[in-house]
Amino acid sequence: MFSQYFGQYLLDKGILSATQLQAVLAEEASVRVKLGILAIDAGYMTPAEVERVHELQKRYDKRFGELAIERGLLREAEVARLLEVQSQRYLQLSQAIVDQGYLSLQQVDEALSSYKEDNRLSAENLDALIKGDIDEIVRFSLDFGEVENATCYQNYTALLLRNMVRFLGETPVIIKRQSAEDKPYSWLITQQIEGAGGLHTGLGLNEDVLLALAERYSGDDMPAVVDAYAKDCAAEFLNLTNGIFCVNASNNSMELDLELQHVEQQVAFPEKAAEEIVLRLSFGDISLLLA
Amino acid sequence: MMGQEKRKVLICDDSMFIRKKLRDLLETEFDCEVVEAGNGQEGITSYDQTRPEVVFMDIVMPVCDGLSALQEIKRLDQAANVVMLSSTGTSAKLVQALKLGANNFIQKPYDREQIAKAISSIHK
Repeated sequence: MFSQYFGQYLLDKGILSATQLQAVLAEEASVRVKLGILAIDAGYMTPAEVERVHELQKRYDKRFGELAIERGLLREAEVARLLEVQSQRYLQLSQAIVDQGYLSLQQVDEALSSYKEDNRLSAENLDALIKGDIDEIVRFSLDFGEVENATCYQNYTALLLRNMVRFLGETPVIIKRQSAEDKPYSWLITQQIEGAGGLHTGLGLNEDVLLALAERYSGDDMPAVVDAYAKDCAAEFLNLTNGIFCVNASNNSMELDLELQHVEQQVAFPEKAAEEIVLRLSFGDISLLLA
Repeated sequence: MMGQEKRKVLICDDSMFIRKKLRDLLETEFDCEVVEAGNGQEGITSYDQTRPEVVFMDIVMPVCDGLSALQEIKRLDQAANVVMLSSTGTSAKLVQALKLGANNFIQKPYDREQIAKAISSIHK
């Protein structure tokens, strides 16, 4: 996740162009190694065991290492060792920028210092970005201030981000958080989670992004314009996330219920005091709406 | 060898995406004959008309939810094999479904092994 956040900073500051960023992220992604691959490489797990843990991750909303330990596939010390190896690889983006000749090593180092300073990143924050600790990234990136449901919003946002990683193969970046305005979205997917501690959730997105989301989630080709199937696939992604949210709440003795999802065009989010969190994915921005 | 009759399965889910993916899996990997219904009411009608061996039933659906449909299907046929397949796999829903006579409860997203187990356990 560090690469996406630092890359976004370089783009915002005009240090790299969008094309240059795309090129270095692509190069970095081609050598990025997930924990499962490192576990196979270290001889700790077989490919079948890694695949099984990936499948379990889709259902249990837990980290790879956590599930592997629970299933007796890895020991705690082995997970710690793998995380250490993985965290040392965060410099690959810097390496890719230098290799492409976009910046010198000195310039990359200066940009990294400015990034940490501008975002007031502590060593712990940076560590969370490098390790892809989404809960921690959400906690320090999203300050909901005095908002009543702040912790609930943070937990929900973290869950959605994890699902974007697991089900869409994306590494989303939190761009900003603001009070949702009474503005229409090209497309709006909403679903109410009923009960004490429930939420009204929404995803505001444009046509292309809805189609890309539907395509990524379903694995099916989508038409050029949004049709009933594309709407259904995109809505099912929200439904899946909300279902896992309900299960997590149920595990904490909170019983919640889901209402039906709605997908509408050119409408505003129906709640007045709502929060909007803009997330950037490789195929466009999605506004997460919570109230 | 005489060809065995295909197992008939009813998928009752308002999501086209879920119906399509589950149908593909059941037809290609488990050689089932699949019937679809888009809500609980259609599911009850379809069950009565086709008498499938297994029903995969969603919970949150328009017109008639999956728990009501389960209750009605069990009233029509006490031996009906109904597997709940829902994104809301909370303990309350699980208990409610089992009390109403569901044979199994799978939380979405399902995987192939869960579907295989659900089918094989019903055929034991």
